[in-house]
Amino acid sequence: MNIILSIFKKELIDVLRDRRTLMFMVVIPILITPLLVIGSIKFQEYQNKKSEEKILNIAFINDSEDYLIKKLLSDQKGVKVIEDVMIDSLESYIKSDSLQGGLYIGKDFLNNINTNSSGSVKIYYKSSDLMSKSKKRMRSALENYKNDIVSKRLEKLKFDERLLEPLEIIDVDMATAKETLGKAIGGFIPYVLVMFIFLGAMYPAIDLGAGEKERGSLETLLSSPATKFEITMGKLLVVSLTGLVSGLISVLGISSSLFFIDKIPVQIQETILELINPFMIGSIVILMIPIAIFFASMLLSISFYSRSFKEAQSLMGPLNMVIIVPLFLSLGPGMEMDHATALMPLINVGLLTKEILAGSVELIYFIETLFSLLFCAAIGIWFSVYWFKKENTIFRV
Amino acid sequence: MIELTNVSKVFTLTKDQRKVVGESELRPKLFTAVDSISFKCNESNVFALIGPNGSGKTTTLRMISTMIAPTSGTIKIKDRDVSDDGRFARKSIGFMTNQTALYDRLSPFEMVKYFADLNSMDKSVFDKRCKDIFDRLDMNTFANKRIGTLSSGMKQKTSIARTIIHDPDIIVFDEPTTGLDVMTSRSIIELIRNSKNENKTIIFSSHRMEEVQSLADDIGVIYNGKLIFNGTKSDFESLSDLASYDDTLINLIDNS
Repeated sequence: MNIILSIFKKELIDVLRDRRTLMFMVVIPILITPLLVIGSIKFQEYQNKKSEEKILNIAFINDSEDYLIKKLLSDQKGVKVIEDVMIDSLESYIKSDSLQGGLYIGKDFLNNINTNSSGSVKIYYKSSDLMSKSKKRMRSALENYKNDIVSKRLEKLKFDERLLEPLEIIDVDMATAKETLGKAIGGFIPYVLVMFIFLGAMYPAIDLGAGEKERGSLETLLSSPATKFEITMGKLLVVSLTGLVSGLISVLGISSSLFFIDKIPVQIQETILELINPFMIGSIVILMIPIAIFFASMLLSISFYSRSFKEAQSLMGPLNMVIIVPLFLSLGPGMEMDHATALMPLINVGLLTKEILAGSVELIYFIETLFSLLFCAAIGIWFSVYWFKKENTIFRV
Repeated sequence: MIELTNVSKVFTLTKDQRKVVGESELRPKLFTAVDSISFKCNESNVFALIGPNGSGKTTTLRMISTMIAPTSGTIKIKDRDVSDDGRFARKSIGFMTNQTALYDRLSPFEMVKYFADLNSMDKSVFDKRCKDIFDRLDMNTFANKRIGTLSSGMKQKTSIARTIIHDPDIIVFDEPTTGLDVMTSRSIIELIRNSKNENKTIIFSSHRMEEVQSLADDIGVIYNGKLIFNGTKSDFESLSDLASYDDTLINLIDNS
């Protein structure tokens, strides 16, 4: 045990003196993550504002005698109605973005409306133009027109408009603000958390495995009284710790960044503060420990196998995908925590974090998730020790 | 002190290695790096293991240091089988190569302390020995500087201090002076001489025959994994009437 501690202590000092490790472990999560969160929210706000304020040129082609739609369309905020556009040239104008949409009313439209049947209106737009609100604005104008016609028809028939609305549905949301927010950001937090545990562990793992090989110091370490088990465990503890710290810092970075976004109402800020409580932090840290050990063991095994720093980096790249896919799946619709998903590594982390943040976690799922992660961590430790003991791995040429 | 009996080491070549040697990639290919060698390094003696590149010198030294296990045969350190008690063997050994193999972000003191800790040295013993070694090697001026900032000579001294901090009875040198400049090589040669004077058992591999001539008491010549000569320095010298050790070695290999 003393030897493991000596190796741990030395490797920790070594790693903490490495600027690149500190960059991945502390600087990126604490500075870059909040900047990314704040930056992306601000950018989104700017884009939304820009798109709201953008004046859309919408062609209005009218073969009937109805002029109410044109008025309703003109009344829409940010719409400039363009007339005298030929229907044949509409497609090319929209494709070239000279026009952002077009509305075509056929010849029989007014006749159909007046005879109590349906008038057909075509709206032209580009769904690929994600920022454009042309479809929404054209539909809004038409919706107003529809309501007006329905109202007139019912009046003519002397029917009360309430005939068409037999139900008055009143939404009563029983979820607390904490639950709603927890479920909403709960999908994002595990993603960041797991990615930063991985990133924080990656560089030290490369340095303590392939880096030692490159420097030639692994050979002298192997000639010391430390056993291969002790060497692996000492290194594994340091790599796990750096991953863990990096994950924690990233979560704290994201949480603190939310207070710098002025658009967040005080009530939500208070809810966030309520979310960050000792139970939440404790539960997440307990989950993070086996994840960090599992990642550390996998990364260290690859590092031991690699001949050089460069090779280790290229071999670790694809591992990112192995992590992202299950986390992505946990965000999917219909993915709920149950006894099966609680045993699926990483998917369970995504689902359980949502539950923890919402304050609705069930103890049995927490235990099952923890068991599955501890099992992975144990397999990881066994594998890295086995792998390090293999002569072909250490002295691979 | 070190006794090897019929020691062999067989490696399974990797796919890449099979490609390099032009063998079928599909069939596992075994490669005998060390083939049933036996020799003894006596206490207070310097044993030189010589031979061309790829002959099996490093593999033999790695087996003695228990970094890799022999496929067959026994290796005894102080009459104890290394496969039964690897930790005892490693505690008895100081291992050094031509690479300084240091950690750039540690100081020489931290580096030496680390290896003392790995050898479970008592603090008071460490303090005394560390002071003694640092004084002897004139390391006090840079003892607390980062190794990465030191000159190659200072690094080599740190490497020496690391190797001998636990006062090992046996020191294993794997081509310790290969690629080193004259001054740095000299410090290693002095270490070997001093260690011999301290009654330590020394085994070293080398390509520099002048070193072998000046340091060795016994010589082993290894070629293609086989020990083709094992004897005293005078036995080696009497093998031929050729003037240089280089010529004697080449002659020996040619006739094997």
